[in-house]
Amino acid sequence: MNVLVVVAMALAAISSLGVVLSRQTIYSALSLVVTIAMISVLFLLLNAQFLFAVQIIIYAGAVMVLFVFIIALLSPDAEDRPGRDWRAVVGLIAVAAVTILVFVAAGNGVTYNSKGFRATQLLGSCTSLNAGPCDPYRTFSYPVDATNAAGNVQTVAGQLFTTFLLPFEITSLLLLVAVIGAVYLTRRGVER
Amino acid sequence: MLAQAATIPALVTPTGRDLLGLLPELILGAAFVLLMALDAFLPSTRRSWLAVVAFISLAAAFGASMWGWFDSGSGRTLYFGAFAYDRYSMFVNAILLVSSALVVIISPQYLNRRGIHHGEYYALILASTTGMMILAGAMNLMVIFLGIELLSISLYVLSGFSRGDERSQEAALKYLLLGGFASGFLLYGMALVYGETGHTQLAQIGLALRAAQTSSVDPLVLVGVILVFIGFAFKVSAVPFHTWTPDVYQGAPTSVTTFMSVTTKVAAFAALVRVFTYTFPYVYTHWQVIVSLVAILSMLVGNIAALTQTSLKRMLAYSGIAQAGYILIGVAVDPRVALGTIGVLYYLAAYAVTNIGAFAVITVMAGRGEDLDSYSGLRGLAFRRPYVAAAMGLFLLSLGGFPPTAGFFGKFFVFAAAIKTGLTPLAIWGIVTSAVSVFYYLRVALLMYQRPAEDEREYAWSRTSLSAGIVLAATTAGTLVLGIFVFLLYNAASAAQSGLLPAIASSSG
Repeated sequence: MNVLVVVAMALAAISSLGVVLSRQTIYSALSLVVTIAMISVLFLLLNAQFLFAVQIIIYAGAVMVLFVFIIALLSPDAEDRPGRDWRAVVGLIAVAAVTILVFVAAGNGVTYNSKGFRATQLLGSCTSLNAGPCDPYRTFSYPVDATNAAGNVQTVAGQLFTTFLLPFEITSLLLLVAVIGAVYLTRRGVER
Repeated sequence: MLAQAATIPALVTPTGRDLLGLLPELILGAAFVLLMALDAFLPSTRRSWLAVVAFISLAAAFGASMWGWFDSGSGRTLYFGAFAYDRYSMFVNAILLVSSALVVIISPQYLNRRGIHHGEYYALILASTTGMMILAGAMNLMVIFLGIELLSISLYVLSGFSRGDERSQEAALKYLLLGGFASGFLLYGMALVYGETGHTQLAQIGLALRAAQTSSVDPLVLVGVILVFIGFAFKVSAVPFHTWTPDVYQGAPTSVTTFMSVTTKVAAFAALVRVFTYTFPYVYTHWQVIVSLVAILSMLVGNIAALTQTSLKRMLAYSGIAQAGYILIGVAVDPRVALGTIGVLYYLAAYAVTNIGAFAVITVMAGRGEDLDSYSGLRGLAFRRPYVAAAMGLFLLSLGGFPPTAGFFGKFFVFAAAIKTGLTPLAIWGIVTSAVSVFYYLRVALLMYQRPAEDEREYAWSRTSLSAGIVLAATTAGTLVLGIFVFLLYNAASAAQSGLLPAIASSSG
């Protein structure tokens, strides 16, 4: 299972680089399909079957079809994508460096107090990812069978209709507002 | 693979008490749908009726909030801990609803003159206000995010409401793109906080941080906290996340600018205080530096940039950035000192009434053609519209922080809180930059009392209508009352602070 995780993560990372770096818009879109598919595989490996299905249906299905459709409509050949810029490269390296630093620190159990950084554990001392007390990612630990033992769909539904009931309801209002706003901004006859 | 049955939370339907606690939000949400339905049937010459409906619903929601103020008592949570029913949210609701109502009153005349009187306007104002009220009461990271999105998406459309005006379209696009970035920061921060604490409910996050406090803090929590702060800083337009503000304020229709310059800030600060001062007090030493730094920069950049403006809306936008800096002082003080939160609440109320007044003058005086935006457009206003000019002068004095106006006591309380908790340099910096701000406020005030040169044409100000008179009278009275009868609002703010949820710090004894 760990091998699968690593493969899926690597493919997701490579294909997401493809989204940003490829010169052809349609390649970017197709790379995004791969990224989304790989992330859905990760969901499946984390025992989150519901999220897996949703990810495939909504993102790989609906959203990507829309993307590809629009790209085909706009004839990407005519479009000039800007060339690579050194500022973008510098920004990318900086972001990557900071991100890696933070995660390596967290992974090594480095904690931060007002006196400064202090290493509490070395990387080698954590032998397996889901070990108990030495795992710095307490809540990231997987497989998360314990929470999903009742079945992922049921767990999601239970959460959705208790803790997340209010967010769920607000989302419906949010979508209505977005629809009305989009209709207003694109309606004919109000331009003057 | 999943043989064992584990516990699924039992399905509990929300009780009537939950629904009653959300009454203000429910009224506005229902009015939003009603307005859209009415708009389909009303002839286009009768659109002002929509303003009347919007006003009535805002008044009803205000009544519900006032009832909630007395009913909520010491506060409780609704919807499984996702929403706060306490005096703090009712206090913020009151500011938001009064501000929206004032904007709705001045809107029909202005929109007609600009030729953009469409029914969606009032519906979107109500939707945005609903989002702000949700944000003010949010006790769950998801609800905070959805509240911000609800208010933002309505505002993106409202700032591009003038479809034929390129400036307005540009403002909407800029606001949408930068707002999207801000939401990204906010969500990333929330994801990290959730990942490290395992909760989205503010109360439980606070408890988890308290438990972790015995050892020390994980860097990922701190990154998450900082990213959440960046998300909020965008919404309150604090430096260095302010770049959208002048362009959007200038490009958006003036009545929309009036609305968003005040209400967005009020709602975002309400949530900021609830999240930082009351949920993250156990990592206070870590975020205090960042908040103070952003406050210092906002006061500096806002005031300096405002000096060089020649556009009224841009000047007030930079002034708003500086004001955000002053309010951030109240956030940066030690969470154990109640005066910080009281100061923030007082400042928000004072800022709302004053800034709505100042923008309302620009809105209601706008002529038929162009917006009243350049400084020269105000020259000689005092001789043609003496009362309007006097009111504008008062608002500018209040923004500058002169006694006996509301603005003075807003600043007074946050500076006092800073001095009380040993952040004296922040207070001194605030006083120095306030002194700078007097220059550009008074410059505009003096312009109104100068006679235009012989060959110069006066701006064609519109006639002072009844609606404009009502709003200007109300904001003038508010500015004076909050500056003279200070303890009326101070006591209310103090009561609002004492019942603030989540009460993590106090439960530790």
